[in-house]
Amino acid sequence: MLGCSPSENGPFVRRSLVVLGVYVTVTAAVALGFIAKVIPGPLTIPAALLPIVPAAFFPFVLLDKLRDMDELQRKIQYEAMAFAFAMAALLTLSFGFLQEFANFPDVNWVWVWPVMGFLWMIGIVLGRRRYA
Amino acid sequence: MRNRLRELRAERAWSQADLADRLDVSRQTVNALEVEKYDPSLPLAFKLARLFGLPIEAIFSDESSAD
Repeated sequence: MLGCSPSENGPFVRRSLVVLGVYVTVTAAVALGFIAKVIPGPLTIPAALLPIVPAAFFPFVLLDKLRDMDELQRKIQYEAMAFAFAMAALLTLSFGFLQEFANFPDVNWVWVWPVMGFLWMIGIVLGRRRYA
Repeated sequence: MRNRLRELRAERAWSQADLADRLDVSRQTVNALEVEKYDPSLPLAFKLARLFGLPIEAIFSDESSAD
């Protein structure tokens, strides 16, 4: 992951898993709360946004990892993120036009990030090949 | 840019991982430098020069390498 060896990725993976674990737990708790209808009306918006609190730690975990990388790894990340950014723009624009003019269904916004993350991983693989 | 990193490393019987440790970079970065797919920053070039005890121009030449 992220273009480094497994040993170099150890702390990043551990910290990411902690963030992911708390995020999944909070998301499940919130979803159960909504399904069981135990969340009072005025708390609907804060409760719906609660999973973002643990997720908000991920950018800091990622930035720490980027700052630890050497110059080539950082360059690979930069190119991978540029690839993901541009490809996500193309995909979202395409889908937006298809929704507007070809009656494509609405898709939940939570899917935007997984798609971008997937494109980021593709960018890393391409970058690793380019400099291998 | 061309370089003599593989030759200099071999003279010292260091593995790519040994050189990576000494430079505080990843093994992948050492490999990319050796196969001339990546040109180092000036700080990294100076670090290499200090490590091998040679001037930078004795390690790198600005003759372009074939990609």
